[in-house]
Amino acid sequence: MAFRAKTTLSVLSTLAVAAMGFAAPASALQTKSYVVSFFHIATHSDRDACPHGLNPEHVELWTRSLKGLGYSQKDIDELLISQRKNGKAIQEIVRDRGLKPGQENIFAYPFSAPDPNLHTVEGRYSYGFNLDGKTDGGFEDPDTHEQGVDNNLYKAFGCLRPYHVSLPDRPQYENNAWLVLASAMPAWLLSVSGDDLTKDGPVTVTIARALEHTMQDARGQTLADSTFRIDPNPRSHNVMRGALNGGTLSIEPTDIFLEAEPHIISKLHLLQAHLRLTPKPDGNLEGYIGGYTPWFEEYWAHASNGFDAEESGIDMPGLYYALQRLADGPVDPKTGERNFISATWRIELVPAIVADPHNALAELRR
Amino acid sequence: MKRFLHYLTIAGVAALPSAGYPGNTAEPAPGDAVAVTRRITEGQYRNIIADVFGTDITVGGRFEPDIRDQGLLGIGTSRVSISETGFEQYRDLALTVAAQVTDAQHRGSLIPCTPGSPKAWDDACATKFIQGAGRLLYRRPLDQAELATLVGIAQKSATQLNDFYAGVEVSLASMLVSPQFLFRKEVAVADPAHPGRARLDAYSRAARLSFFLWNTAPDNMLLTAAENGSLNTTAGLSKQVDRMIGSGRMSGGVRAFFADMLGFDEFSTLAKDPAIYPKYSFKAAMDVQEQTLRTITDHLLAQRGDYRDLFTTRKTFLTRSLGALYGVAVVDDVANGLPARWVPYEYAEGDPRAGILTHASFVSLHSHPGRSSPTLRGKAFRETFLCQRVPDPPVNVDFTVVQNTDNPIFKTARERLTAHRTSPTCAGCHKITDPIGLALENFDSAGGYRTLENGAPIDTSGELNGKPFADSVGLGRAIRDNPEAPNCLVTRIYSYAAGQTTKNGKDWIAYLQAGFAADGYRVPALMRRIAVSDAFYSVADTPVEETEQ
Repeated sequence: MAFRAKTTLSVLSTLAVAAMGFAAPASALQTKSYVVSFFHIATHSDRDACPHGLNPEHVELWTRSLKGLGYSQKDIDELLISQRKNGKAIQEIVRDRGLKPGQENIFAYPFSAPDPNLHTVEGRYSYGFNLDGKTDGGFEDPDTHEQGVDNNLYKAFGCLRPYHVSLPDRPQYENNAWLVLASAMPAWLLSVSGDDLTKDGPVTVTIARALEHTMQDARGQTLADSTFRIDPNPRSHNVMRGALNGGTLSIEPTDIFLEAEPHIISKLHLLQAHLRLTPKPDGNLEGYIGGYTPWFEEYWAHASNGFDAEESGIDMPGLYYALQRLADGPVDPKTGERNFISATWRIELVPAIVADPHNALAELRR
Repeated sequence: MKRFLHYLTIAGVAALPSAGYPGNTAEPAPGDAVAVTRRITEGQYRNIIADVFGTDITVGGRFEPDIRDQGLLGIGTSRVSISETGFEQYRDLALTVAAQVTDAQHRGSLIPCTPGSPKAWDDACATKFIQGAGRLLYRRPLDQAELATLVGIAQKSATQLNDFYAGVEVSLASMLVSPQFLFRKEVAVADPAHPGRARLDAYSRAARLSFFLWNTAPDNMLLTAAENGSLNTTAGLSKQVDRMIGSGRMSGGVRAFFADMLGFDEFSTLAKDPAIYPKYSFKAAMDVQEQTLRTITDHLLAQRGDYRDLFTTRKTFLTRSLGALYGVAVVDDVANGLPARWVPYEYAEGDPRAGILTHASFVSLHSHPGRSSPTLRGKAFRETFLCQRVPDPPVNVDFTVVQNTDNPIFKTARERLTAHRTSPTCAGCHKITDPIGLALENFDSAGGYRTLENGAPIDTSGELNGKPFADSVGLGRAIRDNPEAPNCLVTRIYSYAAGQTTKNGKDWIAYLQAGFAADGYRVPALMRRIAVSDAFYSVADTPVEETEQ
């Protein structure tokens, strides 16, 4: 299915001119805009993904932590019963299991607890992109069958129980967080502009943050075709060159930055960002976005929720160590450390109206 | 103030002659209009509570449903009573309101005096509050017996509970469940200017006027005009009418009338299949009504526009969520887009949306949950805007062809209805509804725009009374230029105001219709013409005892 130009193009162009104070592009530019309706770590959890099994669920995780702190099995059993009754008995104990003085809170100081050596994904498949150009050692994308796919974020998360899922199921934590909070954060927008969006060829892609939040439709899903203004703050404004090929939208690798909300994803910061989006018959888009992302941000997006994160079955120090161990991004010349990890997210979008889509193109041309 | 005779209207009273009204040679007699008793509507109940006690008093709970009679709830309210369940609902509402009015947060501002002790009975303070509130709630001063009863209720409760405010609370709740509050009972008295005739007494006149123009009970100034008799004079009546029409509250009256005429109460039971129409959320269903009412009040009141142009105007108001339903850009500069605001919007020349017929309020209300309905839309069009009666379908009609939207042969509604109309018993009515409704087929059941149905192009051509048009915009122009449309509005608006249709009142309606045309089809002018007329308050009831002083 090809992209279809909006019939409201002339209206939008007029709006852009009125709002931004400069002339619309001289050519008959077509623009199609979307708003992100779902965003979560891309997972593809077949039975070969975790040959050593899944990481422990929360009761086992707590039991192991409490044993490490010297609690007897009898004490642990009593604490677990109390926890079920009042929801508090274990909370502070497991939170403060850090061993370094003054750094007992393991959410803030995960390195204060020992590395539990979580199981990580060893399977063949993962959604994503070949970021480093090497075809050996990486995953194979189950859709495109591209080899050498780099997605160590999935490798770190994929054997955690909340993340051991495949579409149409979504990672539980991110699914819940998105459903509850997405309409409470400024929306993420994507606009595609080109001379003829029904044909293959070069396009301009804008990924930006909106001033408005998304709204929900009668099904509780993101309302399509609502109007957004692009946040004038350039920090979350990304204009890039892209292409349509057989209806699939991609971009030339580039860096992307988007502000977000801490309880969903603190920010989207990608080096060498790749994008692959395919139109659906209903006009929506779905696909994947990936690149190298700061691994600590991914850790903190979960750790900032404290006990709730571990209660969902994520050993936070274990995740911290796994992300650190699997970081495969560029080496920081100052520290010699890798602060970025290869990553890919599932991204779904519904049509939207962006009031000033051509501002982005003008910026690129300047 | 002398109390005077009142009695309920009895149907079948002798009709007044319809040719010429003695009080005003310019006005024909209104026919056999009668004094009526009407139950106040939910909207009126809410407005009264807000007016008397403030908008922060919450009116929660459910109301007895109104019934539509001859196209209007405004007439149906004179045909309803209160069921046992309904009384319980009114009682619960009354208790809730009374508790708020007398609670510690509100008593200081809503009770016009402070008792000597909050735990002791204070006759003077209670009497002052009950007199004041009762006058506004009953829309007339309380008589001595009523006042004594209500004060007695308050005293007994206050004494038993050692709580002055609890006593006042019980008394106020009693007023709020009283028929004197819940029903607008019009009182006919002899018309001293026209021996042998009757007219509404001053308080009934005030109430009819206030509910007509503001959709609420008379305010203090109007009640005072009734009390001092000025409302029975031409100058006094005109003064009050002009004050009310000039008030911002006039929009409440206009909104209430059009919401009634357009059948917006039916939105409470309207359902759309969310799998087919995901944009038609509960909020959207609320917003589509507000869109139309805002468009109407802006056009008729703020712009002083011609009523007929409501069918062609490209100007309206939208929210972001409605913009999504319509697929148009709605830009609001409020931070985060919240709270949602109404933004003026004007469709471009050539856009298929023009006039209130193309609003989602009309096309979605007159559609099925999963498909549009040219027949329902055409029927509603004729009944709502042309005051024509379209018969219900026979009970044995086979709707199979019409309902099967997946039929590979009959892809569009036009094709399905054409096949359905092969039955002679169906053809008659469909002939008068479908050419109108098919013009609106570019709008699906939720009001969204489409040009194809099942992949087949939609033909929106049709005709109204032999006048052909190509699409919804053409339909809007056709009814805009149809003289029956403004004539229908006159009939509707008088019936709404009087709570009855006219019988033997053709001359009166013709007089109003001619006036409406002469006023450039300005609705406020029409409402004023009705409100200041003697005939509006003239009734056929024959008083048998006293005359209003």
